Amino acid sequence: MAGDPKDLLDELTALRRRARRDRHGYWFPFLLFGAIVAAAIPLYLPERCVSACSWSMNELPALWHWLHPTGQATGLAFGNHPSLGKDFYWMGALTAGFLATVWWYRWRAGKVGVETSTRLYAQVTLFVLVLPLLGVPLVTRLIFSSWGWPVALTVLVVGVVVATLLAKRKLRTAIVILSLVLVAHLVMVFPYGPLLVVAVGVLGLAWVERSALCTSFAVLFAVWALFVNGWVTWVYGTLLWPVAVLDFGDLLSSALVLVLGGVGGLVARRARGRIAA
Amino acid sequence: MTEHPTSGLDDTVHQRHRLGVLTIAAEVKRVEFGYLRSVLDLTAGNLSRHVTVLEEAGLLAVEKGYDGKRPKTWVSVTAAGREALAAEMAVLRALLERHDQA
Repeated sequence: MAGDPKDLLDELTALRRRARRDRHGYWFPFLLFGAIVAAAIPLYLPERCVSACSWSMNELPALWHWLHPTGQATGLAFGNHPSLGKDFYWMGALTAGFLATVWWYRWRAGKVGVETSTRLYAQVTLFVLVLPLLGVPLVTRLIFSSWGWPVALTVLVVGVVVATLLAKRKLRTAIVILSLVLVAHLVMVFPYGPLLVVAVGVLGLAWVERSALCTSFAVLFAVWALFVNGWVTWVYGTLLWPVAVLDFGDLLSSALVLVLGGVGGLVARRARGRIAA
Repeated sequence: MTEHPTSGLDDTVHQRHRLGVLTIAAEVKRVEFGYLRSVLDLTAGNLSRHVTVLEEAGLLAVEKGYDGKRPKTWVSVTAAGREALAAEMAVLRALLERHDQA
């Protein structure tokens, strides 16, 4: 028995590290979401038009307008325009990715013997999946159409304040709710908005995994997702990518960050396994 | 005169292997009996006794189930267990500090 408190504390720290290391399984969701982002590339390639491409917001179905009540930025490529197909792809793929991640952690727990809690990840990801589809359109309509902004905004603020007062950590809850509402709004405005849902998901994973490598790649991906969306939406006249990759550089680079995070997680796991052996 | 930090040690928790079980359980949502046995290098009987002591003290929750046909026992830490572990760690750190000052 480690009689010395220092030896005992060191032993417990080593046990905690080992349990944490053994439960790490973020490489799979990183690779999965990397594949989901890469698979979206064909949807964003400009249409090949015989003469000139033209499209109008008015041609888009009513459901698209419901989902994007304040419109959507389109980026530089004129032939690449908003469509319900993209919305359906992201809704389906992100939901499947989210469910597969929860399944993965449960399945892995059975194999390894230690289970990571996915409750926080599930709560946050469900929030950012559902809020843009229902919350943002409803709130926008209440504010701009039905009640008028003074009434609707007051209701919204009261809702956030009540949720915050009910929570244990008030400041953190208020900041998280307001950030998620902002993210939800941007998801439907930015051309690559669904990348923000993925960013929130991987940041949630980094929080539960408590791995420096996972956190680094999650933060890198979140910053990159904001950067490419911000560039496409607000920067005019300067291209981010060479012409050869102009149509798919944003999504390909985002997918690469996720794949690198996944590969990094796998390599780190194998390297640690070798050291332990 | 201030109390010696050892007076804060909890006999149920302080035992080395029980501290190990609590430390691992606090790091994860739940941990399987076989994992604990292998990491702590204990026999099934020994581990079972430690887990029972912690469960009876309300520091651990034990869940029995099956993975296919194989029986599996999952262990998770309770809120009281988390508090007891934090208190024990604080006492150990206080002891260490006192030791370093001496």
